Amino acid sequence: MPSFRSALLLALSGALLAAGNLRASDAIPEPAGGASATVVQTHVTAELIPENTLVFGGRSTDVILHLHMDDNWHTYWINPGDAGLATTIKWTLPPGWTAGPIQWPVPEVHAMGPLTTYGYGGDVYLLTTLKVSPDNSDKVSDVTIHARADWLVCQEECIPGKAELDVQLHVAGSNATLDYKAFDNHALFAAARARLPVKNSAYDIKAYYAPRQDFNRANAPVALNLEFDPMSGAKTASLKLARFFVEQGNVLATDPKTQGFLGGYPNGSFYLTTNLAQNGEQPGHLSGILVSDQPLQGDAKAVYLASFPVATSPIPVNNAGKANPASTLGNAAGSSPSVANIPLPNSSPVASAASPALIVILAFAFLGGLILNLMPCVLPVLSLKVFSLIRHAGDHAGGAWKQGVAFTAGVLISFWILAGLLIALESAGSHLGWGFQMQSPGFVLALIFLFFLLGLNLFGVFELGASLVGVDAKATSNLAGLPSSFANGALATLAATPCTAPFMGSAVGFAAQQPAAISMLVFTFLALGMAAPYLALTAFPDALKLVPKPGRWMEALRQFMGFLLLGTVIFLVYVFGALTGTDSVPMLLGALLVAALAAWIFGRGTAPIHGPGVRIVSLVAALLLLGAAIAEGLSLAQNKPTPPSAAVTDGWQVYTPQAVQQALARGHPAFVDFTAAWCLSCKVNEQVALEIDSTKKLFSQKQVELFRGDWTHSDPQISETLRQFNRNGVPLYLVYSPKNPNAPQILPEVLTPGIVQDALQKLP
Amino acid sequence: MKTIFPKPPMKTTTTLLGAALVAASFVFSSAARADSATLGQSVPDFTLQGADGKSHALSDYKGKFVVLEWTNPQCPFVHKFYDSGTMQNLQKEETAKGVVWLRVNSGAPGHEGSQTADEAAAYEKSNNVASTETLLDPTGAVGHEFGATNTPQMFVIDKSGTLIYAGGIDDKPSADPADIATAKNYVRAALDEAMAGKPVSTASARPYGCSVKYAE
Repeated sequence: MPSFRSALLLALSGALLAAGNLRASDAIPEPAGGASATVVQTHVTAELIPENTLVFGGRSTDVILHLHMDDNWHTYWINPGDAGLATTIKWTLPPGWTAGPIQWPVPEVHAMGPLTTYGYGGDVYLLTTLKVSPDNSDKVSDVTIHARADWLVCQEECIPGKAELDVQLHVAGSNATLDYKAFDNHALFAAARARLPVKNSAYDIKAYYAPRQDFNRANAPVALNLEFDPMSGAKTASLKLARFFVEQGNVLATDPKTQGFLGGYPNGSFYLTTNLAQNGEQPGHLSGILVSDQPLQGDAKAVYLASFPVATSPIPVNNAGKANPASTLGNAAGSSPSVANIPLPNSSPVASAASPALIVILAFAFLGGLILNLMPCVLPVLSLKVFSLIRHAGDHAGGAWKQGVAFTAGVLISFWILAGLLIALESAGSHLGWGFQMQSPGFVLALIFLFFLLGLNLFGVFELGASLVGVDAKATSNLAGLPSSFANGALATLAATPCTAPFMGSAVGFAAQQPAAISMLVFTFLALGMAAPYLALTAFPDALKLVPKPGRWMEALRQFMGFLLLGTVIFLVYVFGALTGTDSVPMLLGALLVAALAAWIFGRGTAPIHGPGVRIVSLVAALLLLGAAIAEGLSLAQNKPTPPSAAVTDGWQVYTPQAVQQALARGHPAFVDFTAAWCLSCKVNEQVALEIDSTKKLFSQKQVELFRGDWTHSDPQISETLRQFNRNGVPLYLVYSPKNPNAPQILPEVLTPGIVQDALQKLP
Repeated sequence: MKTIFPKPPMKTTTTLLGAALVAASFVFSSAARADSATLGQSVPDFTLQGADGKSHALSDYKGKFVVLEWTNPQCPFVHKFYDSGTMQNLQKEETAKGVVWLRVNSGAPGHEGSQTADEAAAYEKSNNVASTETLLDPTGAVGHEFGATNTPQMFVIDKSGTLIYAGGIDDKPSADPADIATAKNYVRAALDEAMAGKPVSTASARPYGCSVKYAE
C-alpha cells in the first residue's frame, strides 16, 4: 500500500515540521487573481504568480510557481532521492533581468517499496527572486515574464509534464509617477516564505567522511558525519531529533531513518551520522536543509539552509570544552557525554546519561561469558572437562594450568572466528546477528548428532578412548590432551551460541556494531568470561581439594550429564523442526535411532576382548549405519517449512513495521515480541511473562495489538529492526504507545510478569 | 575408572570434530551472504531468466565487457532513449565491439512495466532492441545487489569482472529527448576509456528516471 505508507510518512514528517513551527495546515491564501497564469496538465495544475504586478527598475521582485498535484501524486525536490527528477523553471525575461535559483521548501519523504524519494504532494510553492533591470526613466512600461516549467509527477507511474506560463508586469522607472493599482499577493508570499528554510546563522557545522559515529550501524565503513555546534551562545532546551536533507544526489543514503542522531548535550550541540549512497560520490562541499524539532533561542523556526565543506578525515579535538564525540569513545566523564552514552537512536538523551561506557560493556561481556557456563547446552561439556581435571589432579600437579590455557585458547579462538565471521558479513552488508548459525539447518543437524552421540558416550554405550572427557590417563607428558582441551573449548563455544544469556545480548549487539577492533575486544572478554572458571581451577589446583575425591560419584554424575545433553538434543530437534518443517522431526528421530544403533554396535563390537575380524566387521557396520543416519539427516536439512501465514495466530499478528504503525494509527498500543524457535530465553520469557492470564487480561484491557517477529529463519526486516534498537539478536520486546509511535518502551531481555505489566500500565 | 576406558589412538578425533564444526558454520552461513556490487570491485555473479526463456548467468560472459541497463518499458525516461533510437544505436555500436549488453527488468509482477519472457521478447522485436539479451528479475534480488533505483540506470563491468561505472546514462537529467544531442553519454565514455586502457574518468553519476518498481 504505497499510498498508505506515503501518507504515514507524510504524517510523520508533518509532525516533525509542526515542531519547527511549520504547520502543513497553515493555509496559503489564494492569489489575488487577474495577474497569474494557470495551465492544467495531467495530475498537475501549474500557476505562475507574481508578488506584485508593479515592479521597480533596479530592484528585486519575487514570483511563485505553484504546482497543485492530484491526491497521491507528487513532484520532486532538487534532490529527488532514489528516483525522479527535480522540477525546473527556464525563464525568458526582458533584457537585463536575471532570475535566481528556485527556493525550495522542506521536502516530504515518500517511500516507494524499498526506495525513498523527496518531493511534494498536494501543493508546492516554488519561489524565485527576479532582479529587474535598472530603469531611470519616468515611464511605466509593460513587460512579459515567461516561465517554462518542467516537472515529473509520479504516483507509481511517472508522467513528465510541462507548462509555458506568462505573466504581465508593469515596470516603473525610478522617476515615474505612479497611478497604477497593482495586484498584491503579499499574504500568499508571506505564507510561502514561512515554509522556506532560513539561512543558517545558528550552527557552526563541521562535516567529514569517516566511519559512522554512532553505534547504530557500524556497517558503513565510510559515512558522512556532521557536528552542529550552536553559535552566539543560543541554546536549545532539549533537542530530540534532527534530520539533514542533502541537496546533491548520489551522495547519501536516502532513507532519513538511516540517519543517526546524537543530542542532548548541555551546550546544545548535536551530531548526525548518515550512510553514503551505494557507489555514490563524495563531494568536498555539501548543502541542504537541516530540520530539527526545536529552534535555538531567538530563532523563529528550526529549518535551516546549511552549506558546508566536507573533510575526508575526522576533525581533530576542538577546544572550549565543546563536546567532540568523534574522537572520544567510552569517555563518560565531564559535561560532554561520549557517544557510548547514547545507547539508542531517538532515545531521551537525559536517560542516556546512565548508560554504559565501554568498560561497563566489557564487564558485562565477561559476566555474560561466565553465565554461559551454566547453560544446559554448555554445562555438560564443561563439567566433564573439570572431571578429567579432578581425576588427574595428582597425576601431574603443576602442569594442569597448561590444560586450562589450551581450553581458554580453544574458547578464545573459536569466539574470534565466529566474531570475525559476524564482522566480515556485517561489513559486507549482510546482517546476520548473533545466533545466525542456528538459522542453518545443517549446523543444527551437526549439533544434534554431536550432542546425541556425546550423550550416548556419557551413558557408556560406547567409548572413544580419550574422548571428550579429556586427558588420557596414561599420558606421559603434560602436553598430552592439550588438543583435546582446545577442542573442548571450541565445542563449548559453539554449543553456547543458541543460549544468548542475559547480559550477553546487549554486549554482542554493541560489539557487532563497533569498529572491528572494539568488536573483537568485546568478544574476547566474552570468551575470557566463559573460560574463567576452568582457567581459575587449573591455575589454583588447590581449589580441587575442596571437591570430593574421584570415585563412583563421578560416573553417576557423568551419566546425569548425559541426560542434560539429551535435553539439549530435544531442544535442537525442536529447532530443526522449526527450520525444516515438523514433518521432518519423526524422520530425524528415526535417523538418531539408527545412529544410536551404530554407536551400540561400535561399543560392543570393537571392544578389545573380540578378535580382529569381529572388530573390523563391527566397525564397518557401525560406520555404514552412522553414514546412513547422517545422510538421512542431511536430506531432511534440505526441507523447507511451510511459510508462516500472515494470519493472526493465537492473538499474535505477524510483525512488520507497517502493521505496527497501522495498529498505532488505529489508536491501539502495540506489543512486539521478537523471538526464534532456537532462542531458549525467548521461550522462557513467553511462558513466564507473556502467555499468562494476568498479562493477557491486561493486553485486552488496554486493547494492545500483539505482534510477533519470528527470527528462526534469517529475516532482513527483523534484522534491520533489531539493529535499530542496537540489538543483534533476539529476544527484543517493544511496547508502542499510539501517542508516541517512534519511541517505544524497550523491555529487558529477561521478563517477569511485573516488568511487562508495569510497562502496560504506563500506556494511556 | 581407568580400566573402563580402552585407549585407541583417537585423541585427535575431538580436535577434528571441533574444527569441522567451525568449518561447517562457515559453509552454512556463507550461503546466507548477501553480496552487493561496489565500484572498483568484482561484481557478484547472478543468474536470471532471459526473454528467450533460457537462464543466463553473468559468469557466462566472463572476459568480456558487460553493460547492464535497468529498464522499464512504460517509463517515460526509457521512452526518451528508445523512441529516439538512441539506446538501440548505442547497443548496436557497443555490441559490434564485442560488448555484452544485458537489459534488466526488475519490475515486480503486478507493477508498472513488469514483463514476462514473451512480453519482453515482443518488446525487443517491436522496438528493434539490439542488446545481447533482456533479463527478468521479478524478485528484484539482482536490482538490490546492484543498488539499481532508476530506469534507465547503467552499470559497466570490465573484462576482469570489476564494476567500473555505476549511475545515470548521461549528464542531462531530463525527460526531454531534445537534451540527448547535447548530453555526455557516460556509458560510451566509460567503455571508450576502458577499452583504451585508461581509467574511467566519471565512474559514478546521479541516476535519474522512474523508480524501479520493486515488490513492496
